Amino acid sequence: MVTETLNGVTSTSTEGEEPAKTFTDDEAALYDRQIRLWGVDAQKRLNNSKILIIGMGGIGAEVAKNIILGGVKSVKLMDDSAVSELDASAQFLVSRDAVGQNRAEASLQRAKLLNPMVEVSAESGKVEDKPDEFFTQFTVICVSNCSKSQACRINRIARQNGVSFFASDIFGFVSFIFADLGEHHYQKELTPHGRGKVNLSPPTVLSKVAHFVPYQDILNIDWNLEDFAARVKKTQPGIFAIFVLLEFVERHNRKPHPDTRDADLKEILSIRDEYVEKNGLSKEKVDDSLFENVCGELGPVCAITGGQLAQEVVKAVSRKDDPLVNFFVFNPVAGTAHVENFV
Amino acid sequence: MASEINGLLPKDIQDLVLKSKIFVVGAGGVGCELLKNLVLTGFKDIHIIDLDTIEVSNLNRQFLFRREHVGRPKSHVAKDSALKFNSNVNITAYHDSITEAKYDVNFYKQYSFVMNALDNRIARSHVNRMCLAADIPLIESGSSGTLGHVTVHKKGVTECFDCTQRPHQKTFPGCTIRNTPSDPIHCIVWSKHLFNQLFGLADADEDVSPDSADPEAISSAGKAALETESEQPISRVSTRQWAQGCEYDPQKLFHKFFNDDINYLLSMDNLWKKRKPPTPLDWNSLPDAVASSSSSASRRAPILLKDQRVWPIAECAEVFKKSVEILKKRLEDEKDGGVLIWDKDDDVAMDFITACSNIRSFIFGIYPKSRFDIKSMAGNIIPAIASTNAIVGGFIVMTAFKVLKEDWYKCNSVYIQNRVNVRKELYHFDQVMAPNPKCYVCGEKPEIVLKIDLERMTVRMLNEKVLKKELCMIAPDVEIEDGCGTILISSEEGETDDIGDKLVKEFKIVNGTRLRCDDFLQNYNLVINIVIMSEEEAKDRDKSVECFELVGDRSLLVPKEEDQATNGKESDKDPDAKEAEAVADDDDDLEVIAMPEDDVKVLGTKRPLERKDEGEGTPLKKRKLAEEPSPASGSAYCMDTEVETIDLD
Repeated sequence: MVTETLNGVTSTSTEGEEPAKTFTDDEAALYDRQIRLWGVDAQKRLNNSKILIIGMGGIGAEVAKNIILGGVKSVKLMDDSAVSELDASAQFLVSRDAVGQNRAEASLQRAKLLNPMVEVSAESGKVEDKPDEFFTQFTVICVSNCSKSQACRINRIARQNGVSFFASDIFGFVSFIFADLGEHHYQKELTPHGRGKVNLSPPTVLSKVAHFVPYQDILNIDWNLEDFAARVKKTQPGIFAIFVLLEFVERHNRKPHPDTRDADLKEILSIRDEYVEKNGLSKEKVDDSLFENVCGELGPVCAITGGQLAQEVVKAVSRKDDPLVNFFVFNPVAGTAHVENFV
Repeated sequence: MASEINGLLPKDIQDLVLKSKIFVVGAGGVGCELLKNLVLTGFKDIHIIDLDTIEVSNLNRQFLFRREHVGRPKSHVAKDSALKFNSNVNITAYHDSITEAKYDVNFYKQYSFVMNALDNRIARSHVNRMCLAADIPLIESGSSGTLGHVTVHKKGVTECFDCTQRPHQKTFPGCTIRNTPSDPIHCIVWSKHLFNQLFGLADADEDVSPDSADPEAISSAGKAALETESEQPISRVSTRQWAQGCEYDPQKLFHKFFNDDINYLLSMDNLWKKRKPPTPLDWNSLPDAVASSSSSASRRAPILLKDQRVWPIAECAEVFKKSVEILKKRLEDEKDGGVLIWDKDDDVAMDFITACSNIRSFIFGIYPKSRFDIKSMAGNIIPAIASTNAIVGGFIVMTAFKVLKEDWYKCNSVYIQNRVNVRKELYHFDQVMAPNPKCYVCGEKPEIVLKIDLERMTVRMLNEKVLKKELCMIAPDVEIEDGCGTILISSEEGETDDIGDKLVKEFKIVNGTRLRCDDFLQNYNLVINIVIMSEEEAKDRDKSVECFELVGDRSLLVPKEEDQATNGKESDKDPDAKEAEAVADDDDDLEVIAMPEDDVKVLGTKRPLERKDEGEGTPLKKRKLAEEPSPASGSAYCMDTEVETIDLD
């Protein structure tokens, strides 16, 4: 991809992209507001992108909704699990009487209705059964409700093939988003300072590059190492809680469940103890209170996380504006929404 | 539903959610997301109101609606769609205006709390007053592009919506619009005025003819122009009458507005000493080119959107002709002297504005704009997207949990920024502020100072522009505190109509007169202290379109009247604000929000420091200048994001 900046007016040529097609009147009317926000070029890139959403829980449903409304070329919903009663708290794409059906397939009908101009399909197979090539056909892959090992495998394939990768999940009231866009070239418009100033010249456009690290590097951080130990103090505790919760999922092949809340909490705290011990952290840093509400999936938190993730997908595809670099942890109870930057 | 799953929500919240009855105002972008979240969370008794019907441009984000719903009431369709998420919920939908008298204080009292998902200041301010009157907590929200805001208002505990005076919609000086435009927006505003003069509700403040009283023109040699004014038909016959007289002949209209009037402007030669003089256009020899363009580069990019093409002048004239013909016919079809209402979504009205403003731009050597861009500016469209609305809708429910527990200490004002600030935050949580004791709405004895130009302010202007538009009243009664209780404005229809066009000075209104205003519906009483503009100020004001100025609370007048009074004017004169002029359009996308940068600005200029120590003992943020610049605020923030380059390994 070649990016040139000419007198502040930017023309971008991208190899391998379909030739520019004029928007139909229908598309222009439907996407009117967002074209006014992010521009025609960005909308065109969106219209050419193919998105794979793995894990159709609350966050998957929210991302699917926002991305389909935004007008991408295609969205594939992938999940090998069945709809459960628990989905009623956040998964609004499945009907309440679909309990027992495949979660991706059960989401298909409502997802399609959101925007008839987007090709939406479902995949009920297991992630581990798919060959590497399956994942290379997409522009962006969003992973949730997935084991660490499979998430890392997909991340590796994505990196090798220039596919943007996001991992995200929710535990009750807390959630996270991880981003790996490889070597990400993007542009940023600088709006002149001074609110509302009438600006006669076109905005200055900056070309920027962001480099990302793989998911695995972050999941395997050893906080005893000098570089990391030095930043523990400044690091919000939420991220340690996420690592502990991901370890719970890895060991039990499920997330903490409201029905087994007390037992799960006990197990989580013991994993926490192991984790702080191993990483030379204090229990006070990774306090019990961080795990008070970590069962199930809370709808409003899915809405916030899925909204943010969709925004990041748009940024990744449109190559516009600063992306999230690279680990976002959200805890609305503690009132924290921090982005940790790992390089 | 979360509330039906034991172990998901904390027990106390679960119980409160199950038994509360709640009210959502607005079923638009935020409203749809919010309704979904409320149903998923397991609220059982939800009421929702919206006045609007569904439009195609809503569908990219208002996900409860689909193409086949276009034209149907938003609240009804939202209810039906949300019930599919859980049929075991009671949703009551009202297709109505929230300002209707039937939604009175008792109506509000049935709810545990109210959530605003609105798009305009007047409705927000109205719900704020109703919630204050009913003492019901209000969760306020807004979204604009990738920015969003959620906060809480609770009577006597936190600030109310009106505690912070929001930056007013700015207007352009009348003479810039009428005589010396220099930016496309000036020509767009002029064209909207022209539309109203010809087909809409003609407003004396929206004159489109040359302004011979322009101080700049008169200063020395402009006298000649003043004298010739009496010969001009424009000053004696209204634009509407004149247009009717020539049967809206497009060619004659064109000649008047784009030739005669321009020649008249040229005669005010003082104006053109330092400016490029305008070029009058002749219908019969129109240039074929796209108007003089400084942005030739923009045409190099491939045009992917039909509306992005910039029309050549000849085409503008053709569109002008066609749109005038259609609008003329529509006006004739209106019954009982009805008029047309300008609407950005009306294609013909939009064609008219695009053609007129580009023709005028050409005349003044201003670069042209595409219909797409002109629609953004004329319609004051603040684009809304699904993802931001989803985030805002999520935060409203998270805030609702704290409201249900009456955890006012823990309530936050949340700012959604779509970029990471210096504190590494993606969302910024700020403490909610304590009430402003001098607030003109929730203060103990609300008073406000209004500076008026006695020679221009009529009773109707006072009612429409000050009380309704600026102060967001719905049905005010106004009595002069003159000892005899003279009624100046009555909310009873027709009661004071006959005096509407009289100047307020005919009612012995002088410096220091107190007007008692009462909005029965809002349970709101306000005393307006009148201050008369000095002649000099009035002359100055003449350049602008408004003939009044809200000075703020009474205390501001005492120490240094002059300084305080000019404060506001500085900003009025600012030729800024692309988003000017469009307050009147209740665009569903106009979701005005105050981001931290606004807050700091407002705090710094409007809130006296002396209040620093007041409100001691309140749990919430004291009303004083922000202790430290908010990390998300102002230019420091903008710079910061540039300095903080992304780590390259």
